[in-house]
Amino acid sequence: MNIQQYIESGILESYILGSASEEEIHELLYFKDKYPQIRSALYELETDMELIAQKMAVTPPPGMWEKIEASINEVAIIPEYEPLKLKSPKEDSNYNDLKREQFIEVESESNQMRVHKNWKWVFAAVFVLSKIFLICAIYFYLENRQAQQQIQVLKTELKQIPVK
Amino acid sequence: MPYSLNELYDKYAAMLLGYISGIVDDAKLAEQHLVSIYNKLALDLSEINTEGCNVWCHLQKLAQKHLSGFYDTARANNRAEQTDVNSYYARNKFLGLMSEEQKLVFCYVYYKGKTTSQIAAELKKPEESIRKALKEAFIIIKRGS
Repeated sequence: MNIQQYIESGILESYILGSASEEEIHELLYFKDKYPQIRSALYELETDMELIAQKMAVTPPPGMWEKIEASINEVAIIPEYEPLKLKSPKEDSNYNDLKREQFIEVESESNQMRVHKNWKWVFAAVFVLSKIFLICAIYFYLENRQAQQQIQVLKTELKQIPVK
Repeated sequence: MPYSLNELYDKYAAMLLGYISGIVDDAKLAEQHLVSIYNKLALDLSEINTEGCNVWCHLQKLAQKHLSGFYDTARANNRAEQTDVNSYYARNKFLGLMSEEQKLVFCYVYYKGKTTSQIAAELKKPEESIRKALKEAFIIIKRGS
């Protein structure tokens, strides 16, 4: 392949300006990797393009950057979408017919009871107090039983003492 | 070194506005297009920061793509292509240094985003001669600048 002829053909200019066909682009990218001359010619052309654009530059009016920033921020705000309204099964007569045919009616009411969080402290206190009450009851029961036994022992002793 | 949007504005906004003004010939409209292009750019900065990518060439292609609708509208309005090209002459001093064919090819490619094959078909000339004229136009601009 004659590299110089390829560079002179003007295909590099077409590529830089985006006017080359897909096939030409693929071919050029392949040659760019393969031949350093083409790579440097392309680089030189890109630099030239930048110089040309600098010569034709038009300074933007003051406040243009602020306008761009404001516009970007405007785009960045996510619009609030209206929630999607699902059609209620009640509204859909076909759905009701279908439901009757295919499904068994099941009571959907919940058996659970909802209690406010603050009640947990009350339940805990009741639980602790009930345990204390139970311990006390056992303690007094044992005390009582012991006392009964002592009385029984004393009664037996009294019977054994001979009457003078 | 990756560019931030602000850096891209500082370095290339004037060049981009010059390029857009060359196409639309309306200062206010060109500014609006500049804002839109930077909006698009903000969405995909990674592409422009790819290694081996010439930033200006990428920006120019982006502007060309953005303005493709403008070319279509101009075509839809049945404006004569030759008249359009004549309007560019006053905006680009380098065009005065070129031959008629070079001017036409350069304007078609640079300002109108046409491919060399499209121009070849329109002007009924071989594609090689179109590419050659484009190359010569570039040499003239380079020497003249």
